[in-house]
Amino acid sequence: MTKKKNDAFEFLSPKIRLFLSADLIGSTALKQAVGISAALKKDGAGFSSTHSGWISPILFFYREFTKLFFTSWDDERKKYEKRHETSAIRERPFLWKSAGDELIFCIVLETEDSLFLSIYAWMSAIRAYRERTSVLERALDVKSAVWVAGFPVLNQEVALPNEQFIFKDEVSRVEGDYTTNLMNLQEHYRNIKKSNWKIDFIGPSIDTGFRLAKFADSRRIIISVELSNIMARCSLTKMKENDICIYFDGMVELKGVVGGEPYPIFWIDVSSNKYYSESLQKITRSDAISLENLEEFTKAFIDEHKKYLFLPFINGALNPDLRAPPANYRTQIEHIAETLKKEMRKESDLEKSLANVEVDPDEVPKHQLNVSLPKGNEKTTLLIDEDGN
Amino acid sequence: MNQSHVAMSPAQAIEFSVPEPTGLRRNDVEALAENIAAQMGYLPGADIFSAVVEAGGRVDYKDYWDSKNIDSGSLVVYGEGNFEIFLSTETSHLRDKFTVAHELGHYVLHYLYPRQVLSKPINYLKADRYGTNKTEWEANWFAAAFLMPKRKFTNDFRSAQGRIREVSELFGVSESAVKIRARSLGLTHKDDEKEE
Repeated sequence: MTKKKNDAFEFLSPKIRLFLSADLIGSTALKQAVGISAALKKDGAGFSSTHSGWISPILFFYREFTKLFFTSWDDERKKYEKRHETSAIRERPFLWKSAGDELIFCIVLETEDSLFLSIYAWMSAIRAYRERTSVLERALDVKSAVWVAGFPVLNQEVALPNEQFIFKDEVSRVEGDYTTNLMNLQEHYRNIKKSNWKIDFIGPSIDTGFRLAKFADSRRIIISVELSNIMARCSLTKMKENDICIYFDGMVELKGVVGGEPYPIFWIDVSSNKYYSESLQKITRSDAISLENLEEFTKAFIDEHKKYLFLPFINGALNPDLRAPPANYRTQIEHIAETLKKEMRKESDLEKSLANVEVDPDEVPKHQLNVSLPKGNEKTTLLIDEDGN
Repeated sequence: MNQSHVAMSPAQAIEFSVPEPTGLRRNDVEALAENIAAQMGYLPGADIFSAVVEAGGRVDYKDYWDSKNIDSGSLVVYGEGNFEIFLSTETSHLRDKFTVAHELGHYVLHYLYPRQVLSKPINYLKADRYGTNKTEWEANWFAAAFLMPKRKFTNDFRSAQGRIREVSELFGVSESAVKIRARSLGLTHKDDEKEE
């Protein structure tokens, strides 16, 4: 097997990550409704509890939903592997963040199959969670948004120092800049087990995902344009195989996204009442979009906003069309790898040059060097003589 | 020699020299750096950018990470009191300060010194951000001494009882630069550096 050119910098290999957000509906209202009054003692003398009844539904969500998704994902992977007689999918989803009442999972997409099995497992988890909570008195419903983000072009991995190491000698590079970050990522990936860094993800695609999440409701998983594009290009078979339909709900302005121009809202139906959902679709005339139209439009949209977006690709996709990066992508990555090597050598040289030769603070220099520093010319033009020197 | 005052765009083809090692010992380079700092009126922790402008330098930024940018030059000298320093758009201010002092080192050691002391006919000079020979070491020695002159650094380091962050703020350099400087002056060993 031939080695990849940028093996030395694993984090520079093109990656596309799928982000799946699940947010509780009505949790703010629940917290407010049972707020402080329920926590107070009946006689008004101090507090009788710390949480006043809202914490359990949230903790239930944290635990149950996570378990349901991971179980569902494992089941789907087994089915996939059985169907394809392979065990090609190595990357598993993990909980990236919990923010308030929102859980966000993330997975590196190795192929289009890992995309579809993750989406399907996600839909199953939402439905299963809803079914499980429907019999509970205080459980809350869930809404979701899903998006993809490409790395290391457009979005970035960032190395954040673990707090206990931030002022230690081992973490000497704490300056916050791109160059330092790449060096720190290299340090992290060289020895993940003993790493002083934790990895986070930032970038415009992730911001867009957060903005889109505001449009989700219990029936609709909102999906980003880039994700819609990949799904449309994957193949009709996979969509049908996984019983996934995509709908369109108009264009909206998302603050700061694609220059503030209208952005399409695409969604997948996860309502638990199919009859209700279908009858609603009939009166709103919101038929599922054909994959051809979806591919055509998302491609046109990305092209129209090429200042902000490019056609997504999955590095290990089975379909060659989905594997192809945009023009100059690989050249840019190779240039980054080369520049990083040079920056690291420069840093190492600096340390060697200053550390290897000790300076005697009391020694008198052997030479008196008379170099005089001229003052700057007022004009910044060149003075050349008649010979052109 | 008659000189005609012709304005020339830096973009025009010019034959640039590249830095050549002076062969000076580190102590001599450091003494020269401190002398130049005195000529510039630069005090440790002060604004090196303004000092460079006073000396006829200009500071500009370049994105070295962009594959379209094939020129990795970091210093261009057009004449005495007329030079341009290029910094990376993607590095922190503290790192930039060290880079400015480093490029100033190239200007003094590899342009002014050969012209004024060795009478070498160097007209234009260009240094690369990723240079690898002994000249880089010399420019590093210069930068360290320019920003952290040994006597003041030794005294302040002792007064601060070796607290790295405090000294780094005093001299306006990165903590790693303080650690390396303290080690090279024999003030600490790698194992006994204090953190706040």
